[in-house]
Amino acid sequence: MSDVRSTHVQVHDYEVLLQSAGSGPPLLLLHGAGGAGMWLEIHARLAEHFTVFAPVQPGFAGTPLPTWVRGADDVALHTLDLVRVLGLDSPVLVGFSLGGWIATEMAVLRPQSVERLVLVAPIGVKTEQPLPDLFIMEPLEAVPYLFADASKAIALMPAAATPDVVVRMWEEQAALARLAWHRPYNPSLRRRLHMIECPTLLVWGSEDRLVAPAHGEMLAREIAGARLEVISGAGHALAIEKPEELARRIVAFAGDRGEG
Amino acid sequence: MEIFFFHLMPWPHIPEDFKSRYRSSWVVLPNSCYDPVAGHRIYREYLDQLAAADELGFDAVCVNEHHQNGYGTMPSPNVIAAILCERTRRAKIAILGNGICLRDNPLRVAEEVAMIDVISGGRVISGFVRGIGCEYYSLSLDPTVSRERFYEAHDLIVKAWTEPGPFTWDGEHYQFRYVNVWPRPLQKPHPPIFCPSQGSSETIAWAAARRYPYICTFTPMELIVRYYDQYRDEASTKHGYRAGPECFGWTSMVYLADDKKKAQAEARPHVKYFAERCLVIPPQMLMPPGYTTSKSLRGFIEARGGGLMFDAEETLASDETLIGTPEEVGERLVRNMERAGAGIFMGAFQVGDMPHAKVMRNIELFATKVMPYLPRPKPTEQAASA
Repeated sequence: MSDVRSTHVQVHDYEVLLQSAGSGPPLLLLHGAGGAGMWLEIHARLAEHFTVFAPVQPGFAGTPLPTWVRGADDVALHTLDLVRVLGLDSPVLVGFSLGGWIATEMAVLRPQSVERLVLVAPIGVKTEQPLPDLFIMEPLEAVPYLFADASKAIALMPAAATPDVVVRMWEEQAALARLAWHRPYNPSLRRRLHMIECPTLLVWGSEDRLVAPAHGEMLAREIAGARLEVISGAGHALAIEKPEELARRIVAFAGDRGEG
Repeated sequence: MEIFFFHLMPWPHIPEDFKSRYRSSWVVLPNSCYDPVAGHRIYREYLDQLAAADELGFDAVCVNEHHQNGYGTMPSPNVIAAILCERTRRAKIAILGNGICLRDNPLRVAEEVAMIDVISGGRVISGFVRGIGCEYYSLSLDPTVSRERFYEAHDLIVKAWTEPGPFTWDGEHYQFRYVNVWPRPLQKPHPPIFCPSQGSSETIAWAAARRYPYICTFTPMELIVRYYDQYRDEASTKHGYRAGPECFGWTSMVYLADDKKKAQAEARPHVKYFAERCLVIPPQMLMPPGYTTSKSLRGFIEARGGGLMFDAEETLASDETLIGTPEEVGERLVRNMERAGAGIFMGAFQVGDMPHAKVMRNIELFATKVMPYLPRPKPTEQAASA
């Protein structure tokens, strides 16, 4: 595996923090509400097959949250702008949870700019039942909603709640709140899902207690030709709980185009 | 020294064991805990207490806005302020304050406060606040734009009160084609604006730039001095004026009895009720994400450990607290006001679940045994309706 490059990319008036590594066709990986700026096992595994670009969404990993971010569509258009600046030609687009929302908006806004779409337990489309309010919970209280295996979460927890750690976590929550405080979805998005043109894979953990797998079944019906795959024993954070299996499924779905 | 009578209108029947079932007495405490029949009697008693304060010579009676909680049953301060127009004759009516950025249309505040100002004969003091963090949960409002919305709502209301309408407001958060507030307020240029706050440096700078009286509630004296020093410093170095006592308020609960031990014993259950039932707010509800700047959050964690820092026993034992004999309370009050450099005292004479008879005796004791000995301004001509 090649080294991970960390760079700043100027996109109009905003400097994007971007990590990249690997070789092969381009894959744009959008993080969820946790894990921004971290190069995890899932990144490394995908970088064995793709050139992985992992940008940090505004407000995460210590980056500023600008006032022009008012909704997920602002972030989606900004990320499409990043794709243009990077000169990526129709990348594979992968989004985890919150990143899945952004990826869905991107695929709706510019259907032809995405070669393959992988949505991993995405939020962003209204669910049958309202999602639990993670903002009102203590950090540890949210764990059962996100992980099937709580020990996987504990391993990621910072050793001590120093002011630095608390402020950073709070800033990332604020970046999420800007998009998702009073509803973690765009009410217009469901009706737009048919505009997605590229082959789409939905991946869900069977034990997802934040967004139930049944929501994935609904999305699979609404997005033309989409397929839902459920990974058993994984929770909402399946990229952390089952990175090997998730990577294998993404590669099987998107890796058959011009390898090498 | 000006003496304000401050009331939270708490719900006095929060179940003792609620913490084992609910994370807070805010936002999620079921409203089945509220009994409207008892509520009717309790509102009448609270209004009687405020009316008594007017008769006994307090300079102002204060109301405030909090939503969906047992801490204070005044989701609409303007409703109570309107009632006080008729229940009081002389005292100012201090709304401390309206959560202007909690409204989708802040002009509703401009209208309501102007109405109360006109009806009361110009007795209104208009505090503006952002609401505490819990409000953003209760009203599903994005906390990350709270401060921007507050500034813009303030600018809009002041303009609506001072410039001829109609005009168009085309702001970042608020857009109105026709701003033309009827009635206009009676006081010129507008009712005095106060700024109750929790000590964030941005808000202090904002209030100092406008010379708005600034009040930190339930904050240890050491922090108050630090915050007010920042205001005084901003005033003299950036804005060219000396911020005197008229720019600062100090708040405290007050309880009086002939004997110190008796005062503490009688106040204790109500102070404990306040601390252990009314003020049960976990950090994430007090400081929702983006509610303040990262710098202020860091300051809040370092100064207060990220919590409210209100402990009943500590408060009862502290020599800052105004619980004791009239002599003690008078001395402490003067000393605390001098330390804070404050000229406006806001006393909470009803605390937690303190029953009506106790409150009335407490107010009378203060008015007859403490107030006459305080350094007071000469009586001035009161508003038109007096």
